[in-house]
This record gives sequence, structure tokens and C-alpha cells, in this order.
Amino acid sequence: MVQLTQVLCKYMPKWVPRFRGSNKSFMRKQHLLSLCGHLYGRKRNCFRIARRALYRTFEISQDKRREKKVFFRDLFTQRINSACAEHDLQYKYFITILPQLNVELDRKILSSLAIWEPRTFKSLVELVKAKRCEEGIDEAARNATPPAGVITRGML
Amino acid sequence: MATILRNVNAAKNIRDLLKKSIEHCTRSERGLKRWQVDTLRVMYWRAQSYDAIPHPERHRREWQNWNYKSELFAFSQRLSEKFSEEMLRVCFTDKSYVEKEDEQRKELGMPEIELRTENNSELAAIGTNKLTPFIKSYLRYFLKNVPEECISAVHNYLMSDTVLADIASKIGCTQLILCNAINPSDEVKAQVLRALIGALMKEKGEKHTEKFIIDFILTYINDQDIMEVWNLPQAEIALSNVLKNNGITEYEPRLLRESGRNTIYACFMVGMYVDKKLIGFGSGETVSIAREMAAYDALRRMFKLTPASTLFKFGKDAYNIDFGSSSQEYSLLNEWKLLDLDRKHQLKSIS
Amino acid sequence: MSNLTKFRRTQQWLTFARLWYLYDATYQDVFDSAIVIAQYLRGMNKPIYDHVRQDVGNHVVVINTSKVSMPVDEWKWRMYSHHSRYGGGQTWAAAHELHSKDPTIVLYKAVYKEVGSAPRAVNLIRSPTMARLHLFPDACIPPEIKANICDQIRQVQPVLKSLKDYSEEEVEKFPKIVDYPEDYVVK
Repeated sequence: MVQLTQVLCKYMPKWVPRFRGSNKSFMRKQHLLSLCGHLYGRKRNCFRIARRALYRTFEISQDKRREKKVFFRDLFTQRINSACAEHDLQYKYFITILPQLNVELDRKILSSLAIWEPRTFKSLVELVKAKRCEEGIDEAARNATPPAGVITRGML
Repeated sequence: MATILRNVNAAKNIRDLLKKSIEHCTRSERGLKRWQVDTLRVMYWRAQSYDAIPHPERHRREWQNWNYKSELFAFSQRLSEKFSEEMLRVCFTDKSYVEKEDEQRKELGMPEIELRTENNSELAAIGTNKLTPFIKSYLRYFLKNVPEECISAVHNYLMSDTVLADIASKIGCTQLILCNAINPSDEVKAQVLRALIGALMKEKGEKHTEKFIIDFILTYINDQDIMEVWNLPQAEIALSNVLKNNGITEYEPRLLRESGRNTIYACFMVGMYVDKKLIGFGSGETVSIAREMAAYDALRRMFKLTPASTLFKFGKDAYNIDFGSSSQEYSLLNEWKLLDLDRKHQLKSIS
Repeated sequence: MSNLTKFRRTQQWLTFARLWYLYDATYQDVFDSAIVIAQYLRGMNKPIYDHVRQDVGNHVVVINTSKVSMPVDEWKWRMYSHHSRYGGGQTWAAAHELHSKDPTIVLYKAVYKEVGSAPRAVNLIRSPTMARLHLFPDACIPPEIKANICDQIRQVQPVLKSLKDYSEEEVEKFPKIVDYPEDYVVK
């Protein structure tokens, strides 16, 4: 079904069949039907069915908009996880210690750093490792040798 | 709409046409809408009378509202350069245009009036004479560790017709050019840009022209891989020659990593070693390609052409630099040597 | 000059190269190792990993699958079902029975589950992903596959030695806590 835009609807030719009553309701229906072109069967032609189907799609798309955020957060987490594993560091330490060092980067930026600027990411990882060594939170951290090239307060 | 029109041309009669276009209009064949018939009928006759006829390509100046003088004024305003109108007219007049005008007059049997025989070839020659030394000294100022071949290769690239024509079309020269064709060729466009620089030399002087070249022509190499522009053939032979010049006779390519050797997506990584130090590495789908790329990478690091180390300056930062100091030619690749006396220290190992 | 230069082309080739990993399944938990293997198969060990749009998976060659282990009584109690599509055609087999028939199938099924099932996108990539898994019951690998391997995956648990693996000297040297009394009769 070809739907016209609202502007074109105003200038419709005279031979377009007019509905009984006001033209307003016809226009309103046309406007709604113009959003239903992608639906299947009578959902896109019959107004009553189309309206119900359209409201349903709005609900679904609202849900998906919420899900999208979770989806991408999972993806970024996964990417940082694998990038940390390359440098032999656990994700949980990386993501919790970075803000303690006033490096306030979010997961999106960190994951894109891991892909496009691996050297920058490596330096962040070394920063975290040095912090862990300094604090000596657990057995593994106390025994590990601190990475070279990281200057901490104690050195100065 | 485009699909409908295409069908309009193909359909033999209106009934055929309606059948075909109804599919596009309704997306499903559920009868024929009365209100579509009239539209389609109008469209059909329009297609027969206007769209079906091949229209010749026309230059913008054939329209009535074309004002060449104001276009020229707008051009110089766009670039914020104050060209004189006379000079701009000469710049945009190609040699072929003058010849064509001459012929037309002869054919019409018009009396020989004093014709405007000026064209842009003289100005272009002046422009080229300025461009060549300036581009080279600019490149030499920022690329200190490269042989002369690299400088001339990048210079040739910048002075090539394709690049100059691209720049000319991007600053909006295309429609202003007077030549015998409607769409001017790359050569003509490049000639016009050279002539514009020649005109600046005449009117504004040397210093101003240099600023123009920095702003509009040298910015083209920003973010380009200089090694790729140079396109050095047979990198490994070049590497061995360069090392020999620096007193290093031996280098060793080694296979660093490999995966999927027997598959079609095999990947190899080769490193180049001098004195057990890694000086460059490259990868590829075969060992020979990877080896070539490793030599390529080693040369890139030696010439300091890595993306991090090639930092050109443009705009206000570059205006006040004295490029005349770097007009001396570098040594050729066969005689090229590392700058430091202690060369082996300069061949740093890559971490 | 095209955007895909000589250098960038090879860099791209290197980034998206499929890597071949080796995994030794000797005395390794089937289900724990399946999680790790599935991650490598889907390319989750790379920072360029993508859920849907890109397949960046690796190959994994698993050796010694006949020596895999299961926790506690799992060999006895874990049942695998099979349906012949005829009425009453469903049969069950315990893990140890299945393992005795085909020493690779228990690990295969565990990895198949871990590769993922629910989203449609995963369903589509599952068969090519599983095709990149090469299972061998013992340490013998065909030489054409052996040449491809570039790296190995860390095992999920330490390999324990049995008493047979120790030499007699080592057994004798091992510090004894108690000695048998002289009148003790060993059966």
C-alpha cells in the first residue's frame, strides 16, 4: 500500500475517493498505516488489526532498547576480559583497581583501546599490576615482581 | 519511484505497464486502485515524451542564470585570496578553448577581430617552477632520515595530474574551467591549479604563495603512509644495500611465528635480525611475502617513516618555518647512511 | 593510491588469522575443558571478538581425549540419550558406555553444548565452529594437522601422577610417616 506523507496528503488530487464524514479520521488512519508497511498479512492493511500490531511493536522495541545496553556492556566486558588474559591479569582486578588510580575510563573506551591501541592498553595493565604488587592484597600479588617502567610514590 | 520509471520504459502498452507497476505500488496483488491509474497514466506519457529522449549533457554556463563574473568572484572569496578578475580569467582558460574559439570563428567566416589568445600555459610554467623546489624543501625539512628517492617520489606523487586534479575539483574549479570539453580532463584541471599558483606568484609574491601551497597542496599527504607513496620495489635488496653502506654485511631473516601452514589462510611472521637484534618484522600469507614485509618494516624504521615519527606541520605552525635551509639534496639510496656515527646503536631493538 | 595499502593488507591478514591451538586432555575434567575449548573455538580469547557480526574463531586440536576425566561418579550417572525417530526409539547410554564406544564423543558433546544454542545467530555459526574442532583419542596427530599448530591452551587442572608413573627409587625416597611393625603381615 502506498502511503503519502502528511504534506502530500493535504494536496491530494480531487479524484481520490473521499470518505463520508470528516477527512480528519481518514488522514489519521493513513498516518498510522504508513508505519505498518513491514508487518505481515492483515496487520498492515486493516486499521483495527494494524493499530494493535503497531502498539505491540512499540512495546517490543522499547524492551529491545533496554536490552541493547546490556548486550553491548557484555560485549565490552568480554573484550576487556580477553585483552587482560593476554597480559595474564584477571578482569576483576583490572576493572576495580583502575578507578582507584584515578583512571576513569568506561568499558567502551577500554575495549576500543584494547583493539586499536594495544600498547596503551598494555600500559594500563602494567599500572594495575604495579598497584597490586604495592598493596600486596593476596598471596599472588605479594609474590609477583612489579613490572618495570611504572613509577610509584614510594620510588620518588 | 525509480523502479516504476524503469518499468515505464520497458512496458509496451499501458495495460502492461499497469500490471507491472502495481506490484511496486501495492506490494501485493490485491486489485487495482482507481486513484493509481491516473497518476500512472500521466507518468507514462511523461516518460514517452520527456524521459525516453536522450538529453545531451550540458555545461552549467548554458543555463540562463549563469554569471561567470560572479562565479569567479565567489571562487576567490571561497579561498579568501584576492585574485584580480583578469588574472583568474586567464588561469581558467585552457589552450584548447582558445583553439576551439578560433576554429569556430573561421567556420562562421567572421572577420578577424583581435582575439583573446591568452591561456594559462605561461602561468602554469611559473607555478611549476615554484611548486617543485618548495615541495621538495618542505619534505626535506620534516623527513630528515630518508634518501633522495623518497623525496622525489613523494614530490612526483603530489605533482601528478590525478592529485592536482583532485585538489582542483575540491576547491571548486571544475565548472569554471574554459576548455573544449564539458567535463575537463585531469590534465586540464591540474594545469589550472598550477596556473593559479603562478598567478599568486605574480600578484602576491613568494611568501604568500608558499602559504597557499602549504594549505592546499601539501595537506594532501597528511595521514598518508609515506612508504606506500614511495612504493619501494624489492625491499629486501634495498635493505641489504643500505646495511652494506653502513658497514653491516650480514642480516638474518627468521620465522618468528606461524599458524595454519597447510591451510589457505596460513599466516607467517618473519623478523629481520642484525647482531641478534630485531630491527623489523612483517607478516603475510606466505613466507616470501612476510620476508619482504619484514625488510619493508626494517627500512621504514631506519628511515623513521613510521606513522608516529612522520609529523608534518600545517597551517600557522608551518608558515614561519624557513624551508630554504633544507634545499640541499639528500644522498641517494645507494650511498645513504645512518646519521649517527655509532650506527649499530642506532639500529635499536624493537620491544 | 588505494586505501588498502601493502602494509595494511598484511596487517589485516595478521589480525584476522585463524590460529591453531593444541590442548592436551589428559586427566582433564571434560566439562571444565569444554568451556575453555569453546571459548577458543569462538575466538573469545581475542579482543576483536564479536557476538554476531564477525567470525574470528580459532582451530583447536585436542589430543588424548580417551584420558579425560569426570568428577566423582559422573561416568556412571550422566546419561546421553539418542532417538531413532521411530516410536519407542529412544535409548540412553551412560557416559562410560559411550566413551568405550567412541573415546572422542563425550568431549565433543560437551563442547557442542558450550558453543551455544539459544540465539539464532549462534545456531547459524555452530556447525562451522564445531568443524574447527579436531579431536584425537591419543597423542597421534596427522602430520599435516601437526604442522598447522601454533600455540597451546593451558590445561584447566594439574595432571596428577599415579603410583605407576613414579620410579622405584622415588617411591623409596619418599618420606614414610610410619613403618609397618615387624610382625605385620602384608596380604
